[in-house]
Amino acid sequence: MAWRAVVATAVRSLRAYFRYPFNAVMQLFNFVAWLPPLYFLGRAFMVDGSLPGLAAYAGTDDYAAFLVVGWIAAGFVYAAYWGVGFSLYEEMTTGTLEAVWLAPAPRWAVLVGRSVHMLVVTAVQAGVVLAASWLLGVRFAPDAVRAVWVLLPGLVALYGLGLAVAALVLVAKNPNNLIDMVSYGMNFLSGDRVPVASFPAPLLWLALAMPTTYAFDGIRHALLGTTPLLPFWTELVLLCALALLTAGLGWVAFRAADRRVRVGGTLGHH
Amino acid sequence: MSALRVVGATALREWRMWLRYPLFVAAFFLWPVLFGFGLVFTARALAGPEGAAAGFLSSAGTADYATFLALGTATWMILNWSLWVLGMSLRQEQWRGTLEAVWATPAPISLVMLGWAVASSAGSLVGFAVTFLQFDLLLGASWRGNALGVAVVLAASMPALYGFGVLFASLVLWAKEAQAAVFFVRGVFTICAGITYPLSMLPQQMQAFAWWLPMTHMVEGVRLAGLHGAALPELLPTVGVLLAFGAVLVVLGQRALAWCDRRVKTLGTTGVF
Repeated sequence: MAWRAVVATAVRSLRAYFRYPFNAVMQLFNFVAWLPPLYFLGRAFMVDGSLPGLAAYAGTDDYAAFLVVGWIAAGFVYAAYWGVGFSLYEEMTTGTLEAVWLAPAPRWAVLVGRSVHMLVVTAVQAGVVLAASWLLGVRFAPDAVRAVWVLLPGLVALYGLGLAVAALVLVAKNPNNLIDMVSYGMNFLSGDRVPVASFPAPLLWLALAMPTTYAFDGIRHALLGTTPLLPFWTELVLLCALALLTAGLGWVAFRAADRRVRVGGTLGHH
Repeated sequence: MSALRVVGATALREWRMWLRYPLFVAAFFLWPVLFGFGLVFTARALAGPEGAAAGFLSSAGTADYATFLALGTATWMILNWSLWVLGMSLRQEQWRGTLEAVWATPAPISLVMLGWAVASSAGSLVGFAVTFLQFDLLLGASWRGNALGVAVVLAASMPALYGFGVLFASLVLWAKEAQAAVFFVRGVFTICAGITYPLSMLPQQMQAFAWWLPMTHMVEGVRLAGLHGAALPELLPTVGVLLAFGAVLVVLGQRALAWCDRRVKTLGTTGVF
Protein backbone atom coordinates (compact mmCIF):
# COMPACT_ATOMS: atom_id res chain seq x y z
CA MET A 1 0.00 0.00 0.00
CA ALA A 2 2.74 2.42 1.00
CA TRP A 3 4.76 1.72 -2.13
CA ARG A 4 1.68 2.22 -4.31
CA ALA A 5 1.33 5.64 -2.69
CA VAL A 6 5.00 6.38 -3.38
CA VAL A 7 4.62 5.43 -7.04
CA ALA A 8 1.31 7.29 -7.45
CA THR A 9 2.76 10.44 -5.88
CA ALA A 10 5.91 10.21 -7.99
CA VAL A 11 3.88 9.76 -11.20
CA ARG A 12 1.65 12.69 -10.28
CA SER A 13 4.69 14.91 -9.59
CA LEU A 14 6.39 13.93 -12.82
CA ARG A 15 3.20 14.58 -14.79
CA ALA A 16 2.85 18.03 -13.21
CA TYR A 17 6.52 18.69 -13.91
CA PHE A 18 6.22 17.85 -17.60
CA ARG A 19 3.06 19.95 -17.90
CA TYR A 20 5.46 22.88 -18.07
CA PRO A 21 7.79 21.80 -20.87
CA PHE A 22 9.59 25.15 -21.05
CA ASN A 23 10.53 24.91 -17.38
CA ALA A 24 11.40 21.21 -17.69
CA VAL A 25 13.87 21.87 -20.51
CA MET A 26 15.37 24.98 -18.89
CA GLN A 27 15.96 23.08 -15.66
CA LEU A 28 18.40 20.79 -17.44
CA PHE A 29 20.61 23.80 -18.04
CA ASN A 30 20.62 25.08 -14.46
CA PHE A 31 24.34 24.44 -14.30
CA VAL A 32 24.90 27.45 -16.55
CA ALA A 33 24.06 29.68 -13.59
CA TRP A 34 26.58 28.10 -11.23
CA LEU A 35 29.48 26.32 -12.86
CA PRO A 36 30.94 28.80 -15.37
CA PRO A 37 31.17 31.76 -12.94
CA LEU A 38 33.24 29.63 -10.56
CA TYR A 39 35.25 28.03 -13.34
CA PHE A 40 36.23 31.44 -14.76
CA LEU A 41 37.02 32.69 -11.25
CA GLY A 42 39.40 29.73 -11.03
CA ARG A 43 40.98 30.73 -14.35
CA ALA A 44 41.55 34.24 -13.00
CA PHE A 45 43.83 32.71 -10.34
CA MET A 46 45.84 30.55 -12.72
CA VAL A 47 49.59 30.96 -12.87
CA ASP A 48 51.13 29.62 -16.11
CA GLY A 49 48.04 27.49 -16.79
CA SER A 50 47.86 25.74 -13.42
CA LEU A 51 46.34 26.33 -10.01
CA PRO A 52 49.04 25.66 -7.43
CA GLY A 53 46.84 27.07 -4.65
CA LEU A 54 44.12 24.48 -5.23
CA ALA A 55 46.63 21.68 -5.69
CA ALA A 56 48.13 22.43 -2.29
CA TYR A 57 44.76 21.83 -0.61
CA ALA A 58 43.13 19.16 -2.78
CA GLY A 59 45.91 17.23 -4.45
CA THR A 60 44.62 18.23 -7.90
CA ASP A 61 44.70 21.48 -9.83
CA ASP A 62 41.95 20.40 -12.23
CA TYR A 63 39.34 22.86 -10.95
CA ALA A 64 36.85 22.04 -13.72
CA ALA A 65 36.63 18.36 -12.69
CA PHE A 66 36.65 19.32 -9.00
CA LEU A 67 33.71 21.68 -9.59
CA VAL A 68 31.69 19.29 -11.76
CA VAL A 69 31.77 16.53 -9.13
CA GLY A 70 30.94 19.02 -6.37
CA TRP A 71 28.07 20.50 -8.36
CA ILE A 72 26.53 17.08 -9.06
CA ALA A 73 26.79 16.05 -5.40
CA ALA A 74 25.33 19.40 -4.31
CA GLY A 75 22.50 18.91 -6.81
CA PHE A 76 21.31 15.86 -4.86
CA VAL A 77 21.36 17.85 -1.61
CA TYR A 78 19.26 20.55 -3.26
CA ALA A 79 16.93 17.81 -4.52
CA ALA A 80 16.40 16.58 -0.96
CA TYR A 81 15.71 20.08 0.32
CA TRP A 82 13.45 21.22 -2.50
CA GLY A 83 11.97 17.91 -3.58
CA VAL A 84 10.72 17.02 -0.12
CA GLY A 85 10.47 20.32 1.69
CA PHE A 86 9.35 22.68 -1.01
CA SER A 87 6.86 20.18 -2.42
CA LEU A 88 4.88 20.56 0.78
CA TYR A 89 4.88 24.32 0.34
CA GLU A 90 3.51 23.84 -3.17
CA GLU A 91 0.70 21.69 -1.78
CA MET A 92 -0.02 24.40 0.80
CA THR A 93 -0.19 27.27 -1.67
CA THR A 94 -2.26 25.34 -4.19
CA GLY A 95 -4.63 24.30 -1.39
CA THR A 96 -4.19 20.54 -1.77
CA LEU A 97 -2.18 19.69 1.34
CA GLU A 98 -5.16 18.77 3.52
CA ALA A 99 -6.53 16.46 0.81
CA VAL A 100 -3.15 14.73 0.44
CA TRP A 101 -2.76 14.46 4.23
CA LEU A 102 -6.20 12.84 4.54
CA ALA A 103 -5.42 10.12 1.99
CA PRO A 104 -5.21 6.62 3.53
CA ALA A 105 -1.45 6.39 2.96
CA PRO A 106 1.52 6.99 5.26
CA ARG A 107 2.78 10.54 5.06
CA TRP A 108 6.37 9.49 4.58
CA ALA A 109 5.21 7.76 1.38
CA VAL A 110 3.89 11.07 0.06
CA LEU A 111 7.19 12.78 0.88
CA VAL A 112 9.29 10.04 -0.69
CA GLY A 113 7.03 10.04 -3.76
CA ARG A 114 7.44 13.80 -4.13
CA SER A 115 11.20 13.48 -3.88
CA VAL A 116 11.44 10.90 -6.66
CA HIS A 117 10.82 13.39 -9.44
CA MET A 118 13.51 15.74 -8.12
CA LEU A 119 15.97 12.86 -7.91
CA VAL A 120 15.14 11.84 -11.48
CA VAL A 121 15.53 15.42 -12.72
CA THR A 122 18.80 15.82 -10.81
CA ALA A 123 20.14 12.57 -12.26
CA VAL A 124 19.31 13.75 -15.80
CA GLN A 125 20.93 17.14 -15.05
CA ALA A 126 24.02 15.31 -13.83
CA GLY A 127 24.10 13.37 -17.10
CA VAL A 128 23.88 16.59 -19.12
CA VAL A 129 26.71 18.17 -17.09
CA LEU A 130 28.92 15.10 -17.38
CA ALA A 131 28.36 14.96 -21.13
CA ALA A 132 29.05 18.69 -21.53
CA SER A 133 32.17 18.55 -19.41
CA TRP A 134 33.42 15.46 -21.25
CA LEU A 135 33.02 17.35 -24.54
CA LEU A 136 35.02 20.21 -23.02
CA GLY A 137 37.85 17.88 -22.12
CA VAL A 138 37.18 17.16 -18.43
CA ARG A 139 38.20 13.59 -17.58
CA PHE A 140 37.42 11.33 -14.61
CA ALA A 141 39.00 8.10 -13.40
CA PRO A 142 36.08 6.50 -11.58
CA ASP A 143 36.44 3.87 -8.88
CA ALA A 144 32.80 2.72 -9.11
CA VAL A 145 32.92 0.45 -6.05
CA ARG A 146 34.10 3.21 -3.75
CA ALA A 147 31.54 5.63 -5.26
CA VAL A 148 28.66 3.23 -4.48
CA TRP A 149 29.94 2.79 -0.91
CA VAL A 150 29.59 6.55 -0.47
CA LEU A 151 26.32 6.98 -2.35
CA LEU A 152 24.24 4.58 -0.24
CA PRO A 153 24.70 6.22 3.18
CA GLY A 154 24.64 9.57 1.39
CA LEU A 155 21.12 8.83 0.20
CA VAL A 156 20.00 7.97 3.76
CA ALA A 157 21.40 11.29 4.98
CA LEU A 158 19.58 13.14 2.19
CA TYR A 159 16.20 11.70 3.17
CA GLY A 160 16.89 12.62 6.78
CA LEU A 161 17.55 16.18 5.69
CA GLY A 162 14.42 16.17 3.55
CA LEU A 163 12.27 15.09 6.50
CA ALA A 164 13.76 17.84 8.67
CA VAL A 165 13.03 20.42 5.96
CA ALA A 166 9.47 19.11 5.60
CA ALA A 167 9.02 19.63 9.35
CA LEU A 168 10.29 23.18 9.00
CA VAL A 169 7.92 23.90 6.11
CA LEU A 170 4.92 22.66 8.10
CA VAL A 171 5.76 25.00 10.97
CA ALA A 172 7.38 28.03 9.28
CA LYS A 173 4.91 28.14 6.33
CA ASN A 174 6.89 30.32 3.90
CA PRO A 175 10.37 28.87 4.14
CA ASN A 176 11.72 29.37 0.59
CA ASN A 177 14.44 31.69 1.72
CA LEU A 178 15.38 29.53 4.65
CA ILE A 179 15.56 26.41 2.48
CA ASP A 180 17.60 28.32 -0.05
CA MET A 181 20.06 29.65 2.52
CA VAL A 182 20.46 26.46 4.51
CA SER A 183 20.94 24.29 1.42
CA TYR A 184 23.43 26.77 -0.06
CA GLY A 185 25.30 27.07 3.24
CA MET A 186 25.38 23.33 3.75
CA ASN A 187 26.66 22.65 0.25
CA PHE A 188 29.32 25.33 0.57
CA LEU A 189 30.51 24.05 3.95
CA SER A 190 30.53 20.50 2.60
CA GLY A 191 33.01 21.66 -0.03
CA ASP A 192 30.90 21.79 -3.19
CA ARG A 193 33.31 24.33 -4.75
CA VAL A 194 36.44 24.40 -2.60
CA PRO A 195 38.42 21.90 -0.55
CA VAL A 196 37.17 21.88 3.04
CA ALA A 197 40.80 21.83 4.16
CA SER A 198 41.08 25.48 3.09
CA PHE A 199 38.52 26.66 5.68
CA PRO A 200 39.58 28.39 8.91
CA ALA A 201 39.19 26.30 12.08
CA PRO A 202 35.59 27.23 13.13
CA LEU A 203 34.20 26.57 9.64
CA LEU A 204 36.25 23.40 9.34
CA TRP A 205 34.76 21.99 12.55
CA LEU A 206 31.26 22.88 11.36
CA ALA A 207 31.97 21.16 8.06
CA LEU A 208 33.26 18.02 9.79
CA ALA A 209 29.97 17.71 11.72
CA MET A 210 27.96 17.29 8.52
CA PRO A 211 27.46 13.97 6.71
CA THR A 212 27.53 15.70 3.32
CA THR A 213 31.17 16.75 3.83
CA TYR A 214 32.29 13.12 3.94
CA ALA A 215 29.97 12.22 1.05
CA PHE A 216 31.38 15.00 -1.19
CA ASP A 217 34.96 14.24 -0.20
CA GLY A 218 34.51 10.49 -0.68
CA ILE A 219 32.89 10.90 -4.09
CA ARG A 220 35.69 13.21 -5.24
CA HIS A 221 38.27 10.76 -3.97
CA ALA A 222 36.50 7.94 -5.84
CA LEU A 223 36.07 9.86 -9.10
CA LEU A 224 39.10 12.14 -9.22
CA GLY A 225 41.62 10.55 -6.92
CA THR A 226 41.83 13.66 -4.75
CA THR A 227 43.47 13.45 -1.34
CA PRO A 228 40.69 12.60 1.17
CA LEU A 229 40.32 14.57 4.40
CA LEU A 230 40.63 11.35 6.42
CA PRO A 231 41.45 7.79 5.35
CA PHE A 232 38.61 6.62 3.04
CA TRP A 233 37.22 3.90 5.33
CA THR A 234 37.26 6.22 8.35
CA GLU A 235 35.28 8.74 6.31
CA LEU A 236 32.82 6.01 5.35
CA VAL A 237 32.21 4.99 8.97
CA LEU A 238 31.66 8.61 9.96
CA LEU A 239 29.33 9.12 7.00
CA CYS A 240 27.23 6.09 7.97
CA ALA A 241 26.97 7.20 11.60
CA LEU A 242 26.04 10.78 10.72
CA ALA A 243 23.59 9.61 8.05
CA LEU A 244 21.71 7.44 10.54
CA LEU A 245 21.70 10.27 13.06
CA THR A 246 20.36 12.72 10.46
CA ALA A 247 17.65 10.30 9.36
CA GLY A 248 16.59 9.68 12.97
CA LEU A 249 16.49 13.36 13.87
CA GLY A 250 14.65 14.21 10.65
CA TRP A 251 12.01 11.60 11.36
CA VAL A 252 11.47 12.81 14.95
CA ALA A 253 11.23 16.44 13.78
CA PHE A 254 8.74 15.56 11.07
CA ARG A 255 6.53 13.60 13.45
CA ALA A 256 6.53 16.47 15.95
CA ALA A 257 5.74 19.10 13.31
CA ASP A 258 2.99 16.98 11.82
CA ARG A 259 1.36 16.55 15.22
CA ARG A 260 1.72 20.23 16.01
CA VAL A 261 -0.04 21.47 12.85
CA ARG A 262 -2.82 18.91 13.17
CA VAL A 263 -3.48 19.80 16.81
CA GLY A 264 -3.31 23.52 16.01
CA GLY A 265 -5.47 23.16 12.89
CA THR A 266 -2.86 25.05 10.86
CA LEU A 267 -1.96 22.38 8.32
CA GLY A 268 -3.01 24.35 5.24
CA HIS A 269 -2.08 27.84 6.50
CA HIS A 270 0.48 29.68 4.41
CA MET B 1 -2.03 61.70 -9.67
CA SER B 2 -4.12 58.53 -9.88
CA ALA B 3 -1.22 56.85 -11.67
CA LEU B 4 1.04 57.68 -8.75
CA ARG B 5 -1.54 56.22 -6.36
CA VAL B 6 -1.57 52.95 -8.29
CA VAL B 7 2.23 52.74 -8.30
CA GLY B 8 2.45 53.69 -4.62
CA ALA B 9 -0.31 51.29 -3.53
CA THR B 10 1.27 48.37 -5.40
CA ALA B 11 4.74 49.06 -4.01
CA LEU B 12 3.38 49.51 -0.50
CA ARG B 13 1.43 46.26 -0.69
CA GLU B 14 4.54 44.34 -1.77
CA TRP B 15 6.65 45.80 1.04
CA ARG B 16 3.94 44.99 3.61
CA MET B 17 3.78 41.42 2.38
CA TRP B 18 7.57 41.00 2.58
CA LEU B 19 7.56 42.33 6.12
CA ARG B 20 4.82 39.86 7.08
CA TYR B 21 7.37 37.05 6.76
CA PRO B 22 10.25 37.49 9.24
CA LEU B 23 12.24 34.82 7.41
CA PHE B 24 12.14 36.92 4.27
CA VAL B 25 13.53 39.91 6.14
CA ALA B 26 16.20 37.74 7.77
CA ALA B 27 17.16 36.36 4.36
CA PHE B 28 17.59 39.88 3.06
CA PHE B 29 20.47 40.37 5.49
CA LEU B 30 21.81 36.83 5.57
CA TRP B 31 22.04 36.10 1.85
CA PRO B 32 24.77 38.64 1.17
CA VAL B 33 26.84 37.15 3.99
CA LEU B 34 26.40 33.61 2.73
CA PHE B 35 27.04 34.58 -0.84
CA GLY B 36 30.05 36.65 0.15
CA PHE B 37 31.53 33.85 2.22
CA GLY B 38 31.02 31.47 -0.70
CA LEU B 39 32.90 33.66 -3.14
CA VAL B 40 35.65 35.06 -0.93
CA PHE B 41 36.49 31.66 0.57
CA THR B 42 36.55 30.19 -2.93
CA ALA B 43 39.00 32.90 -3.95
CA ARG B 44 41.10 32.25 -0.84
CA ALA B 45 41.20 28.52 -1.58
CA LEU B 46 42.23 29.21 -5.17
CA ALA B 47 44.97 31.54 -3.94
CA GLY B 48 46.31 28.65 -1.81
CA PRO B 49 47.75 28.45 1.71
CA GLU B 50 50.26 31.19 0.89
CA GLY B 51 47.43 33.55 -0.14
CA ALA B 52 49.16 34.23 -3.45
CA ALA B 53 46.94 36.31 -5.74
CA ALA B 54 49.56 36.87 -8.44
CA GLY B 55 47.35 35.24 -11.03
CA PHE B 56 44.41 37.44 -10.10
CA LEU B 57 46.57 40.55 -10.14
CA SER B 58 47.74 39.88 -13.66
CA SER B 59 44.23 39.07 -14.96
CA ALA B 60 42.15 41.67 -13.07
CA GLY B 61 44.66 44.47 -12.54
CA THR B 62 44.18 44.32 -8.78
CA ALA B 63 45.11 41.82 -6.10
CA ASP B 64 42.18 43.03 -3.96
CA TYR B 65 39.82 40.24 -4.94
CA ALA B 66 37.55 40.88 -1.93
CA THR B 67 36.56 44.37 -3.11
CA PHE B 68 36.39 43.18 -6.73
CA LEU B 69 33.97 40.41 -5.70
CA ALA B 70 32.04 42.73 -3.33
CA LEU B 71 31.16 45.18 -6.09
CA GLY B 72 30.29 42.40 -8.52
CA THR B 73 28.11 40.59 -6.00
CA ALA B 74 26.34 43.74 -4.81
CA THR B 75 25.47 44.56 -8.43
CA TRP B 76 24.36 40.98 -9.00
CA MET B 77 21.93 41.35 -6.08
CA ILE B 78 20.15 44.10 -8.03
CA LEU B 79 19.75 41.85 -11.06
CA ASN B 80 18.57 39.03 -8.83
CA TRP B 81 15.85 41.21 -7.36
CA SER B 82 14.72 42.39 -10.77
CA LEU B 83 14.29 38.84 -11.99
CA TRP B 84 12.74 37.29 -8.89
CA VAL B 85 10.51 40.17 -7.77
CA LEU B 86 9.61 42.04 -10.95
CA GLY B 87 10.14 39.18 -13.39
CA MET B 88 8.11 36.70 -11.36
CA SER B 89 5.50 39.23 -10.15
CA LEU B 90 2.65 38.14 -12.41
CA ARG B 91 3.38 34.50 -11.66
CA GLN B 92 3.30 35.22 -7.92
CA GLU B 93 -0.14 36.79 -8.27
CA GLN B 94 -1.25 33.75 -10.22
CA TRP B 95 -0.04 31.43 -7.47
CA ARG B 96 -1.86 33.42 -4.81
CA GLY B 97 -5.03 33.42 -6.92
CA THR B 98 -5.10 37.22 -7.06
CA LEU B 99 -4.04 37.85 -10.65
CA GLU B 100 -7.59 38.20 -12.03
CA ALA B 101 -8.49 40.65 -9.28
CA VAL B 102 -5.40 42.76 -10.00
CA TRP B 103 -5.93 42.59 -13.74
CA ALA B 104 -9.62 43.51 -13.39
CA THR B 105 -8.95 46.74 -11.45
CA PRO B 106 -9.46 49.96 -13.45
CA ALA B 107 -5.70 50.61 -13.24
CA PRO B 108 -3.62 49.74 -16.32
CA ILE B 109 -1.46 46.67 -15.74
CA SER B 110 1.59 48.67 -16.87
CA LEU B 111 1.20 50.95 -13.85
CA VAL B 112 0.85 47.97 -11.54
CA MET B 113 4.10 46.65 -13.03
CA LEU B 114 5.71 50.01 -12.36
CA GLY B 115 4.64 49.64 -8.73
CA TRP B 116 6.36 46.27 -8.57
CA ALA B 117 9.41 47.85 -10.17
CA VAL B 118 9.48 50.56 -7.50
CA ALA B 119 9.18 47.95 -4.76
CA SER B 120 11.89 45.82 -6.35
CA SER B 121 14.25 48.75 -7.06
CA ALA B 122 14.06 50.09 -3.53
CA GLY B 123 14.70 46.62 -2.12
CA SER B 124 17.53 45.96 -4.53
CA LEU B 125 19.32 49.25 -3.83
CA VAL B 126 19.17 48.62 -0.09
CA GLY B 127 20.42 45.11 -0.88
CA PHE B 128 23.36 46.59 -2.80
CA ALA B 129 24.39 48.71 0.18
CA VAL B 130 23.87 45.87 2.68
CA THR B 131 25.93 43.50 0.54
CA PHE B 132 28.86 45.85 0.18
CA LEU B 133 28.77 46.79 3.86
CA GLN B 134 28.88 43.14 4.91
CA PHE B 135 31.80 42.43 2.56
CA ASP B 136 33.51 45.47 4.06
CA LEU B 137 32.89 44.46 7.69
CA LEU B 138 33.36 40.70 7.46
CA LEU B 139 35.30 39.75 4.37
CA GLY B 140 38.09 42.23 3.89
CA ALA B 141 36.65 44.43 1.14
CA SER B 142 37.50 48.11 1.41
CA TRP B 143 35.65 51.07 -0.05
CA ARG B 144 37.89 53.62 -1.74
CA GLY B 145 35.81 54.63 -4.74
CA ASN B 146 33.52 57.35 -5.99
CA ALA B 147 30.11 56.90 -4.29
CA LEU B 148 28.40 59.50 -6.47
CA GLY B 149 29.71 57.74 -9.57
CA VAL B 150 28.32 54.40 -8.36
CA ALA B 151 24.95 56.05 -7.64
CA VAL B 152 24.84 57.59 -11.13
CA VAL B 153 25.65 54.25 -12.80
CA LEU B 154 22.98 52.46 -10.76
CA ALA B 155 20.38 55.15 -11.52
CA ALA B 156 21.19 54.91 -15.24
CA SER B 157 20.75 51.12 -15.06
CA MET B 158 17.24 51.23 -13.62
CA PRO B 159 15.29 51.77 -16.91
CA ALA B 160 17.08 48.79 -18.51
CA LEU B 161 16.37 46.60 -15.48
CA TYR B 162 12.71 47.70 -15.45
CA GLY B 163 12.30 47.03 -19.19
CA PHE B 164 13.97 43.65 -18.89
CA GLY B 165 11.91 42.74 -15.81
CA VAL B 166 8.62 43.55 -17.57
CA LEU B 167 9.72 41.63 -20.66
CA PHE B 168 10.58 38.66 -18.49
CA ALA B 169 7.32 38.87 -16.49
CA SER B 170 5.35 38.74 -19.76
CA LEU B 171 7.33 35.71 -20.88
CA VAL B 172 6.66 34.04 -17.53
CA LEU B 173 2.91 34.61 -17.86
CA TRP B 174 3.06 32.88 -21.23
CA ALA B 175 5.32 30.02 -20.12
CA LYS B 176 3.75 29.72 -16.62
CA GLU B 177 6.34 27.84 -14.55
CA ALA B 178 9.62 29.65 -15.05
CA GLN B 179 11.94 29.35 -12.05
CA ALA B 180 14.40 27.46 -14.21
CA ALA B 181 14.30 30.27 -16.77
CA VAL B 182 15.20 32.72 -14.00
CA PHE B 183 18.21 30.58 -13.11
CA PHE B 184 19.24 30.31 -16.74
CA VAL B 185 18.87 34.00 -17.61
CA ARG B 186 20.54 35.02 -14.38
CA GLY B 187 23.31 32.57 -15.15
CA VAL B 188 23.90 34.02 -18.62
CA PHE B 189 24.09 37.52 -17.12
CA THR B 190 26.35 36.30 -14.33
CA ILE B 191 28.77 34.73 -16.79
CA CYS B 192 28.78 37.51 -19.36
CA ALA B 193 28.84 40.45 -16.96
CA GLY B 194 31.95 39.20 -15.18
CA ILE B 195 30.41 39.28 -11.71
CA THR B 196 33.15 37.13 -10.21
CA TYR B 197 36.06 37.58 -12.62
CA PRO B 198 37.47 40.01 -15.16
CA LEU B 199 35.83 39.78 -18.59
CA SER B 200 39.20 39.00 -20.17
CA MET B 201 38.82 35.44 -18.79
CA LEU B 202 36.02 34.75 -21.27
CA PRO B 203 36.70 33.44 -24.77
CA GLN B 204 36.75 36.21 -27.43
CA GLN B 205 33.29 35.40 -28.86
CA MET B 206 31.70 35.47 -25.42
CA GLN B 207 33.38 38.79 -24.65
CA ALA B 208 31.93 40.24 -27.86
CA PHE B 209 28.45 38.97 -26.92
CA ALA B 210 28.80 40.25 -23.35
CA TRP B 211 28.99 43.88 -24.45
CA TRP B 212 25.49 43.56 -25.92
CA LEU B 213 24.05 43.03 -22.44
CA PRO B 214 23.24 46.00 -20.17
CA MET B 215 24.40 44.11 -17.09
CA THR B 216 27.98 44.01 -18.40
CA HIS B 217 28.07 47.80 -18.66
CA MET B 218 26.44 48.13 -15.25
CA VAL B 219 29.10 45.99 -13.56
CA GLU B 220 31.84 47.71 -15.54
CA GLY B 221 30.57 51.16 -14.48
CA VAL B 222 30.18 50.15 -10.82
CA ARG B 223 33.74 48.74 -10.75
CA LEU B 224 35.16 51.76 -12.55
CA ALA B 225 33.64 54.09 -9.96
CA GLY B 226 33.74 51.86 -6.89
CA LEU B 227 37.11 50.15 -7.31
CA HIS B 228 39.16 52.55 -9.42
CA GLY B 229 37.47 55.80 -8.29
CA ALA B 230 36.62 56.97 -11.82
CA ALA B 231 35.22 60.53 -11.96
CA LEU B 232 31.85 61.36 -13.54
CA PRO B 233 33.22 62.42 -16.95
CA GLU B 234 34.97 59.03 -17.27
CA LEU B 235 31.67 57.30 -16.54
CA LEU B 236 29.65 59.18 -19.16
CA PRO B 237 30.13 56.65 -21.99
CA THR B 238 28.92 53.81 -19.70
CA VAL B 239 25.97 55.89 -18.50
CA GLY B 240 25.04 56.74 -22.10
CA VAL B 241 25.10 53.09 -23.15
CA LEU B 242 22.99 52.08 -20.13
CA LEU B 243 20.37 54.75 -20.92
CA ALA B 244 20.24 53.61 -24.56
CA PHE B 245 19.70 50.00 -23.42
CA GLY B 246 17.00 51.30 -21.08
CA ALA B 247 15.13 53.11 -23.87
CA VAL B 248 15.07 49.98 -26.05
CA LEU B 249 14.18 47.55 -23.27
CA VAL B 250 11.38 49.72 -21.84
CA VAL B 251 9.72 49.84 -25.28
CA LEU B 252 10.18 46.09 -25.77
CA GLY B 253 8.87 45.36 -22.27
CA GLN B 254 5.76 47.50 -22.74
CA ARG B 255 5.03 45.86 -26.10
CA ALA B 256 5.41 42.39 -24.64
CA LEU B 257 3.12 43.31 -21.78
CA ALA B 258 0.49 44.74 -24.15
CA TRP B 259 0.67 41.55 -26.23
CA CYS B 260 0.36 39.46 -23.11
CA ASP B 261 -2.57 41.56 -21.90
CA ARG B 262 -4.47 40.97 -25.16
CA ARG B 263 -3.59 37.29 -25.22
CA VAL B 264 -4.70 36.35 -21.70
CA LYS B 265 -7.90 38.37 -22.02
CA THR B 266 -8.77 36.80 -25.38
CA LEU B 267 -7.98 33.25 -24.28
CA GLY B 268 -9.32 33.72 -20.76
CA THR B 269 -6.19 32.20 -19.27
CA THR B 270 -5.40 34.80 -16.62
CA GLY B 271 -5.86 32.39 -13.75
CA VAL B 272 -4.76 29.21 -15.53
CA PHE B 273 -1.64 27.70 -14.03
